[in-house]
Amino acid sequence: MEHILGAFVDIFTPGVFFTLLFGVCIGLIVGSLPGLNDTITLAVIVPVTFSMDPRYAFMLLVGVYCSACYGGSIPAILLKIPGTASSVVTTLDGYPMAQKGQAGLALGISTTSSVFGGITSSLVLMFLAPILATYALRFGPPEYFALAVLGLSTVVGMSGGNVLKSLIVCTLGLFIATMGMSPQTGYPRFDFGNPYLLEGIPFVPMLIGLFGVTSVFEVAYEIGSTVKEKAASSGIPKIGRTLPDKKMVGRLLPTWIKSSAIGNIIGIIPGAGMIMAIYLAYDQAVRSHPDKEFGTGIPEGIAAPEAANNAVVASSMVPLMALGVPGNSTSALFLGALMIQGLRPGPSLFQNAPEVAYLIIVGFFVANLLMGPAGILLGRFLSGIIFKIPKQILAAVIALLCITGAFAVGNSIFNIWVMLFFGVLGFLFNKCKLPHSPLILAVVLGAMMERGLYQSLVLSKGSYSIFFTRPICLVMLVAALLFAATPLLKKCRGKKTSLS
Amino acid sequence: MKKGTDDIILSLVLMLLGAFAFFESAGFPNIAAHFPRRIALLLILLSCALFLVGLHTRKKNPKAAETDERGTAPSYRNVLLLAGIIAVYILVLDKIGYLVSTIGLALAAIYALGYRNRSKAILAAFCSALVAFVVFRFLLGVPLPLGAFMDG
Repeated sequence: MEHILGAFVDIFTPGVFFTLLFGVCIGLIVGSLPGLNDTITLAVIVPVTFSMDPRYAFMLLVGVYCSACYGGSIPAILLKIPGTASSVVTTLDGYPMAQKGQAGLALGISTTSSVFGGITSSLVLMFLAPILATYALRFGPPEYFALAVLGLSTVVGMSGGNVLKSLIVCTLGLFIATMGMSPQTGYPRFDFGNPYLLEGIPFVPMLIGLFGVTSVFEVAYEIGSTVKEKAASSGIPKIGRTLPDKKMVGRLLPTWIKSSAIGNIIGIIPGAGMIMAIYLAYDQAVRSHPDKEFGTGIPEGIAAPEAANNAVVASSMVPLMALGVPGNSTSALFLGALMIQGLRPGPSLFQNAPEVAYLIIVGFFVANLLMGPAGILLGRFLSGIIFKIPKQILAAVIALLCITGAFAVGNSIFNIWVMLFFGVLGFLFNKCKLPHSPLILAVVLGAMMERGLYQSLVLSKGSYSIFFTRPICLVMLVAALLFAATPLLKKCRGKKTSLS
Repeated sequence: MKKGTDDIILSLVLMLLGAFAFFESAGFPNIAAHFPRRIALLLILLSCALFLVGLHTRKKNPKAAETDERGTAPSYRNVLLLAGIIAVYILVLDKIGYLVSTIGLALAAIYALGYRNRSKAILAAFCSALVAFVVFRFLLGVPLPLGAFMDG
């Protein structure tokens, strides 16, 4: 408790507070720009934080992460163009509501729902992460191996897409993780005589390439494509009153609670992803209100996805902070930021740098409180100016920032080549319908998996029974099996339903 | 292109990668080779599975895909052009310095993507490169290359 109070004191010092506020505003702006999202922005900002004080660095990242997901709802409601992938479902009821002359109310519902979801998520992070971290201190090499297997199996099992392709991407990620010096012997593997590869593929430039540069290539592809997107209807609707009244709040509260619960649970599971939470929450809202015609401007149709997507944000940091396993691609970037600052995520973070750990946790709470008023105020400004920036200029600026960021990480031109390579790879992945997140998680967890496996076999003198005789390890391996079997179970249930 | 062909091509590429990794790791000491060899074998196995899936898809859909989901030549050309611009940028960065090469990069990228308002393009390229230079070099202390034009 004293750490939490200490973090609250720290966060209200002017420098830290205004950095957090600045991050929230940046997140709102980039989230509202179609083509940009929290992951791309963080990929560009992370290398910038290298020379910053850790408190300012993490508050900037926290502010951006919190508000970018919500920022995407602004063009989704006003222009029928989701600013981020997490706002696709908000378009379904947000835009029709705006067309009925209730654009302000739609924005207000989106804001309050996001704040509610975000606050519940930050409370989950505040109380669950430290508890999980104390349990994680008991982990030995077998548990770390099992944790890595669990993390990868949840990514594969919960991805919702092609399981075989997710497995392949996972394996590719594990292969990339083996590049560089062997952790056991120091022998250089797959370095091709290049000294820059002795420590493996540089992590942050890889992420910048996979997210930032890939998105630039996608914009370039879209600009040149003959497939034209349907133009949104004329102009931006007038924004009137924004805040929902007491009656509306009372009406939406059950939706907020259920959607936030869904978002929090999904957020904690590595690899499950925000999109899954949003669709589950929307589906739940539709089932709970069979008398309402969703897709015509129903308030619950905005409240459910917005509460869910922001509920994923802080809860996705739980496995990262407590166990060192990123919950999604964006929290993987936090991993990069922590590494740049010389900090190791996981239970040791709470022991060695508790002031940083709790500052991040409290940062999420305060950022969600700041997001509401910032969103209400900035929403009008964004609709008037930011949406008019041409895509070509936006793409060029993102490319420029990605390149500079990649260089800044290690002052090395080789890092820019890595960034370009993974940018091209990410683009090809998209064209071949290969998911990105298994690759990131596998690169992060590969080293943990290899180290855990090797050390466990040394402890057990080569016997694999060590993985089945330790209770925590066994539970995690069984959970991994269940997660991995989820797509098969879903398929069988689908067949049974169609037969009946 | 027939459905399933993408998967077949991808699986062949991955099989080659897996085979390369497997044979390359044969030269590593035993402990260092343990994990990569197993990953390489797994990759080969999964690629074989993808190959079979691709074949099965082709058999089930003998006609070519009616709607071509891939873009036309101009859309891939844009991507290749942009990648080429970035590659050239990386090659000249050290020689001509960050500021000059970045202005060139931004201008070339904006033009390559089809934006033709010259004055706005020049303004955007110049401002974004200058702001990035000032922020990274002076505020964050990143030693960006100055190149022949600005160095000594």
